[in-house]
Amino acid sequence: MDTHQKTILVVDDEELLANLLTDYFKSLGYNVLTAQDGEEAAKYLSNGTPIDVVLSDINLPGMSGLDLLRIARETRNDISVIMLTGYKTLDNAIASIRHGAKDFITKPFELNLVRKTVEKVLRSQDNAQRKLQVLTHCRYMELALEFRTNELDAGLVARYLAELLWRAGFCSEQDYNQLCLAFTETLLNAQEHGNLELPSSIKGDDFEQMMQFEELRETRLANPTYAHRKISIVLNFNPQSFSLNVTDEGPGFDWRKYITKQHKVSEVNTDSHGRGFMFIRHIIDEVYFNEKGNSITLVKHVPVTVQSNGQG
Amino acid sequence: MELNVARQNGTLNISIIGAVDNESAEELKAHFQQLLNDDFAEVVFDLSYVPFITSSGIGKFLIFYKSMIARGRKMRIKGINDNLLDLFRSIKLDQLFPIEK
Repeated sequence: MDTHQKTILVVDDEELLANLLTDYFKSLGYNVLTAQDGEEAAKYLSNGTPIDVVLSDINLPGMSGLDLLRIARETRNDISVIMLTGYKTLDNAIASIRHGAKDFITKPFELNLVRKTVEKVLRSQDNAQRKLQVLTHCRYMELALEFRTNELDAGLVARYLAELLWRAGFCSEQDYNQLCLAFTETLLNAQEHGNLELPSSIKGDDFEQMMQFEELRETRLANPTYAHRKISIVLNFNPQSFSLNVTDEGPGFDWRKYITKQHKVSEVNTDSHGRGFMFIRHIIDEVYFNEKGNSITLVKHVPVTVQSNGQG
Repeated sequence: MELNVARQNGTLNISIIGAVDNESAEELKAHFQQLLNDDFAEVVFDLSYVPFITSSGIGKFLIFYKSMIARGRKMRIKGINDNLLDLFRSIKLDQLFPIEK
């Protein structure tokens, strides 16, 4: 197991139990944080406190243990959650596994069992993290991916690419989220407006009109002429910068009218196509298109603060 | 993405947990369409646990907002993170409805 001191967040409104777990894990050499309710625990999660495992009661005053689990799952996928539960809430505990808890322990419990469960969860976490640690000292990386339009999950691929950069030390967790956003917008543009040739003008101003866009999207995803067009993705990374090139096989678009627009707008931007592109420009340092407008390259340089932390 | 909805007098408090990407933007649309039929005067979105929202997600918020205004209802957003606030301001959403950190 990784030897760095692991941090456990104990969440329980029963002070006696929380103290017992805290003292026990401290005696085993763990760093232990405590929270008496879900809200207090959620603050630890949202402010980026380094935590490896959350040990949380399922029945908490206010925000429930299940809500806390949802927050951990959606916002801190580096953390494993173990639920503590009484027999009366066993159904909830089983449901919590379906919602992403790594394990659950029923009360009353033996401390030794809690220790074994925590160690098991940490071992599996370490195995997953070790694979990504390969990237920590990476000096250069080139990754080329190609997808058929109907097989590209833009959100998933965007997260994958951003996580590579995050794990390689290029950016912080906050920047990771920004990169997820910029990459999702870029891939969606290539998929929907590039290869599927969906005009954003038909998205409309209400939910009913929006159906038109979705119906056309489904129709074209089922049509090989559009659906089998390729999307090529090339990510180049070094410790100073990365570039991401995304090329589709669509007819291209007149990018000049977007790229020459002022970065700041004077009124609310309701044009969805332009809005996505604005998001990209807001996050990425340099954006280039090829002449045809079916290939975009994003370039971002490492923030000075990250560089000074040993990446330079 | 998860959505928790709580009603308090005439206010609908909606807490969103997780990123609003292209897929969850569709879920959001389905929730919004349902919510429009509810009886309330104001909706407050808590985005404390939303790391990012795609342009497609923003589009759903905008359509929901327009429908709300047409019904004489109010909308505001709270708990937003710095990056998201910056992004919302860059497209002037703060001119449409109150946005608080």
